[in-house]
Formats: sequence, C-alpha cells, structure tokens
Amino acid sequence: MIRLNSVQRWSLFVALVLWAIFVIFPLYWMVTTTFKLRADIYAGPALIPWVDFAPTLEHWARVVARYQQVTRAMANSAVAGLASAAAATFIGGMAGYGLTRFQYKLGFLRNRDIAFWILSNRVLPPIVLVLPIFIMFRTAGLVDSRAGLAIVYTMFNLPIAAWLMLEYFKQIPIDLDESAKVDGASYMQILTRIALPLARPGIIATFLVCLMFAWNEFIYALILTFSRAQTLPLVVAGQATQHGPQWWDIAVMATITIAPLLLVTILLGNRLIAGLTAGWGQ
Amino acid sequence: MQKTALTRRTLLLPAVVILLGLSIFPLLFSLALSFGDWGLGRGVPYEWRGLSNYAALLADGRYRNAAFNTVLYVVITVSVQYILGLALAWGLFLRPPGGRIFRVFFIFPMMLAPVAVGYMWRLMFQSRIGAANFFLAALGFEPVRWLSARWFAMSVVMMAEIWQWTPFMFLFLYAALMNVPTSPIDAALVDGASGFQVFRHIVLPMLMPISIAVIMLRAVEAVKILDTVYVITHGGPGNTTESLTMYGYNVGLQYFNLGYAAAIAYTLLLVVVAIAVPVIIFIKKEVSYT
Repeated sequence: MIRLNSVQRWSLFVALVLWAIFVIFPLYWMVTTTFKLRADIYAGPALIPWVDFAPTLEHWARVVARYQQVTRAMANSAVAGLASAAAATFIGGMAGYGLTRFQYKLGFLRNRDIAFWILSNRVLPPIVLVLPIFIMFRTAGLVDSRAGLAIVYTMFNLPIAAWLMLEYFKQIPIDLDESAKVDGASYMQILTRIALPLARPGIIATFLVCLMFAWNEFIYALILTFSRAQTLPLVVAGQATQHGPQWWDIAVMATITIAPLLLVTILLGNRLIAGLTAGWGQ
Repeated sequence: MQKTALTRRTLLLPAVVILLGLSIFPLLFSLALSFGDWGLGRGVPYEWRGLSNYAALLADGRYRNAAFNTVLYVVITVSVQYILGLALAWGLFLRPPGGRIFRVFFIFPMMLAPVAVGYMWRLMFQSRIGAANFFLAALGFEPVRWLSARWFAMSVVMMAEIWQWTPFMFLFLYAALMNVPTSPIDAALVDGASGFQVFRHIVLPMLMPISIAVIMLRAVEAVKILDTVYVITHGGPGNTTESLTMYGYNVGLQYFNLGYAAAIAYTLLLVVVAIAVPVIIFIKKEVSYT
C-alpha cells in the first residue's frame, strides 16, 4: 500500500474537497434559489439562508398550487417508471435466467451471441427508433399515454436489465440446481426456492437502475407525449423555453425531479453502485 | 423433456418479441424512411427517393455544423471526464481522510435527470441572476452573456456534461482499481518506486483495458447528446450549438420531414456502430477468457 506523508495526505484532501465543492455548488445554488424572494434572486450572490436572505416557501406553494401540471407529471413519471422497471426486470430476469441455465440455438446464434444481441440494442440512438415508434404509436392510439411510455421504457431498459440479471444468475452455482433436481425438485421449484431468493439483491439493484433510467429519460417522452402524459423532465424543459423563464418556478420543478434520486443515492448508494458495477473488473 | 423445451423458449420469448417489435422493426423502418420521403400529417404517401436524402446531407451546412458540434462535445467532454475520473479514483485509492464520504459526493451527479442538470447549469450562467456573473462582478469584471455567444454556450453545455458524467468514469475506474492485484504495487514500493511511478508504470497499464471500455461506453452515449443542449441553449444562438440528435429532432418533429430526419439519424447510428462494435468484440473476448 502506498503511504503518503502528511503534506501529501492533506494536499490530496484539499484537492478532493475542491472537487466536492464543484459538485455540490450548482446544486446548492439551485436549491437555495427555490427559497429566495425574487428581489433576493436579482440582488446578488445570496448564499446562506437567514444570513444573506430570508428564506421563503412562496415559490414552492405557488408551484404546488398553480401547476396542476407538475403533480400530474409526477404521477406520470412514477407510473411509467415503476411499471416499466418492474416489466423490464421481470422480462429481463426471465431471459437472464434462461441464458444461464439452458442451451439455446437461434439460427447460428448461441447463448453468448443472444446475450450480446440483447445488450447491443442499448447502444442504438433513440432518435433512430423514435420516429417509427411515433408512427406506430399514432396508429395504435398510444401517443401521449402512460401505457405507451411504459412500453417504450420497458424496451429501452430491457437490454441493461437482461444483462444485469444474467450477471447475477451466473453467480449462483449451477450445482445447486443439479442437487435440487436429484432430490426431485421441479424447474418451477428450483426457480422459486433457489434462484429467486439468492438473486434478490440483484433483482432490487436491477429494478432501481431501470427506475432511474426511466425517471430521467427525456427524448422518448419529448416526442411521444405532449400534454396528458408528460413526465417531469419534460415539464422542466418546457418551462425553460415557452413563456419567458420563471427561474424560481423552474428551480422548484427541477428540484422535485432530482429529489427522489438524490435521496435514493444517499440511502442506498452502495447497493446502487453494486448494481451498476456488477461483474465489472474481475 | 418436451416440457423443458417449452420452459426454455418461454423464458426468452418476451424479451425477443419486445426487442424485435420495438427496436429491430423501427430500426429497419427508419432505414426505409431514410431512402424516401413521407409527409406525415400532410397526407403524402411514402415515396422512394433512393439516396437523395443522403446526398442532400452533404450539401447541408446546418447538418455539417451539427455534426462538427457533436464531435466537439464528445471528444472534449469524454476526455476531460476520463482524466478527472481517473484522478479522483486514484485520489480515493490513496485513502485520504474522509474517503467514504467523498465517494457518495463523487457519484451522485450521474443519478440525476440530465434535464434538471442542464437547467441547473443554465441557472449558474444566466446573465442576470447566475452565480458565475455575480462572482465575476465581485472580482470587478463586467457580466458576460454566456448563452448568447456560441463558444461560451457550448462551454456551459460541456461543463454540465463533465459535471454529470465524470462520476461514471470515477465509479468504474475506482471499482477496477479495487480489483487490481496489490503484490506488484508492493514489490515496486519495496524496490523504491515513488507513488507516481507506481501509478504510471504499474497501475495505468493494468487499467488500460477498462479505460478503453469506459471511454467507448461514454462516447457511445455522448454522441446521442440532446437533453443538456436542449435545455441550456436550445441549439442557439441561431443553430450554432445544435447537436445531431437535436437537428434530427427538429427536422422530424418540428418540420415533419421524416425521410430527411431518418437520414440524419442513420448517419448518427453509423458513428455509434463504428465506436460500439470494436468494444463489443473486445468485451466478448475478455468474457470468453474468464
């Protein structure tokens, strides 16, 4: 292990603190803006509540009361996010489980090729797919609906979900299946009694990762929704360009958009990190 | 036996159906669109035009500008993200005081909605109420209208991208550093190597494969850049800061010229494939050895 003398140790510490400040400051600036009166926002760099400015809940109260749009967008984001994360985790989990437990042959594709084909869908630029999806959805009456969004997000998250679940199921030794089979367990019993309980941390991590991607997603929502089914990122982006920006209100909406993930990261940081880096670097 | 075969197929079927229907079919649909013209909403049926959309791209100054901007966004942001991410990972690897707390701070930006992040940086650089101009004023400088000048505006977009995605580089490089075998490091230290020499000659070469992978993964995502550009500059001033995805979006869904939009999108896809295929082959090779 490399040992640092105390000068090196503390200069490293200072450098890391500087980066932490760069990371925190814009967020702090935005969040404090939501609590400043307009006069304070224009007056100058007011940094510390109760010292530089008197905090107010005015903007929060107005956004919650006036913009029915925001509460509806929250519901849309939550429904599309939860439904698609559940579906992607479930369907991806099935594929991941199958690919670790059975031998497949689709034409010339074997298991590893199938897994890579599934994953490779993740790199396709949404702008390529979204125009035809828009046309298809118009025909099917799914434009500007939560169901349509949930379907698209399921597709969008499926590659990463299948890939993560594959990594987790791979870590469960196949010997466990074999010995259960010898003891007369059915496939269903092996799945529900052995594989699923052991994969539980992986299932939770996959679900969270999918939920995050769906919650933050922008381009599909931009093109496939216009009023009823608009999600939070869209409401934030729309405010900034339509009528002359109401900075304080947008700051509130942006804060609402990022708050859940900020909270999840602080509470479940390590689990989420484990999910994102599964099977990495070994 | 037959029941096994049925289970086996059922497991894979939903995933394959969804990807064929919503990914592969649109992909081919887009390809067909890019070779033709379809005025959606104007009641004009699809008409085959051969390569004319692609030929038009060559002469389109706005397209060239968007392509150039996209390359700039990708090259600058991804290289800065890598260098900073590597520095942070190495910094934490040296076990500074407060290491565990730093880790959370270094990771969370990548979890946040890019639209909100873009808006956050726009607020920082807004000319009347942004923190940047307040600090400039405190130092005695004139306020700058950041978002009204092309290069300043692009710098703000890049700053937001670097802020958001350096954590991605940090996260994966740090995870890889934690798995680096310690014995060569210790042996070099016993032989009197300095910390920097250990980093330069032992750790960096061991991180090479992972470095290539994370740089390419980031590049593949960065090429699609839309959210931050849309919120911070909306392509402006004029169309000078537009990215390819943004131009494709404008052509397809503002002007409803689907064929041309699909051609723009397909050129973007070619770039993505050119970056991604070597990486996928590379990762595949790595996987088959373990």
